[in-house]
Amino acid sequence: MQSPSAKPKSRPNDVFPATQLAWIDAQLDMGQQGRSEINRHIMSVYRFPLHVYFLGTRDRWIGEPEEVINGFFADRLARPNFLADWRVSGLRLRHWLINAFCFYLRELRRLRHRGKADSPKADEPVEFAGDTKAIDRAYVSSLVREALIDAERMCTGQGFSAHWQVFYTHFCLGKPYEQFVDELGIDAGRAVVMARTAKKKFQIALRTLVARDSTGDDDINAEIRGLMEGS
Amino acid sequence: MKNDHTKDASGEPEPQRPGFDAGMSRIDVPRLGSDGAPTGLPGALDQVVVDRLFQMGISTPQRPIDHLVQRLSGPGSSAWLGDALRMPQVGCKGDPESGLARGRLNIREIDDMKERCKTAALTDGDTHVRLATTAGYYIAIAAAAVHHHRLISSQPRGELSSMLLDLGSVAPEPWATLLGRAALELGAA
Repeated sequence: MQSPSAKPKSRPNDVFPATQLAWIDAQLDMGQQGRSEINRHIMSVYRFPLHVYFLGTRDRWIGEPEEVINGFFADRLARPNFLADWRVSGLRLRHWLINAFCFYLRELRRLRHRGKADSPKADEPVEFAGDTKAIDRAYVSSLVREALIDAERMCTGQGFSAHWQVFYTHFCLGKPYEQFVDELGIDAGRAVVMARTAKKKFQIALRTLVARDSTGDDDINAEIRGLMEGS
Repeated sequence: MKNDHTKDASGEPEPQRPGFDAGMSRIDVPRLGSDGAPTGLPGALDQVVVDRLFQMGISTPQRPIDHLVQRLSGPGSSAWLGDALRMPQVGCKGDPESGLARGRLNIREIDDMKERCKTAALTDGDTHVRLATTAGYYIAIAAAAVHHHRLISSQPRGELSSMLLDLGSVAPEPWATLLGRAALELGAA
């Protein structure tokens, strides 16, 4: 993973779908409802990587991870320009959030040290001493978890519940088709194409989430490959 | 990572917290109920599964077969495919369902059909014929794999099974099951 403050390289062969690039803008235009949707998205996808980041800092004494991260979300996501500032930063959203989280930790540290004499550490930068790959792994896990939820919702909404069941049983639970298709009353040949249908929904859901992390000019395939190599 | 105790704001040593990567090898995946809300039933996925699922996000480049996938995803695909397989340019001997889906054609007849389709798919000036013969080409390959356990294409098995699955996911029955069985025969995971 890049250092949080590093600016991502611009890639000329941009294949991020414009509709996804504009998702956050469109939600912001919808007012409070859209804002709530953005907040839900951010808290779902980025809670786990921030948790891992926090546990890798020397500031763990500040508080319980859940409490600190909830406080961070409550504070920063309530700021009107927080996301607009991200859009102009050129950073990936996860890097922007980690940057902001570092500032938030410093603020908490100052609060904890308030009134104490001789506390020079209060203003020192947050130091991450953990394995940066663990943050990427946490991010990937969050993306996969959210994409599974979104894809299941898509499949259910489009009448593909059985397809989802086959996909989930085979790819997530690791059962060979032959072990469970009889229970569903379908042929293994039918099951494998049903799983393919659900897999496409999952792929769409996953790529949508990956696209939302970018401010633009990135190749989703390259981003996924990069995260796979990095984690 | 340094594991020494850190003093908290009151000067008291803070108990050591768990390592930051604790529990990273598994994630809890909430399941959804019928109303779409998470039911809270955890389904733990280990890192190997997470990695495999994440890799599914990589898209394949546009292939000629995608035009056929698009056509089969459209309205009336069942009638369209039935008519397509009966076109003279496809050259299926007898009833396509009987000959290909149920396996009445012998391997030589299927191979002849596949070759005819291959030529037409590459050279015919009519888009509709190219699409129909592309369908005939892959269905012939699937029939040979399922009913005769023969691979009559030089395309790599992995690519071929992936294409058969993509076609199968949008094809009507009995072709969907035939294509799925063929993909499994070719080693689809």
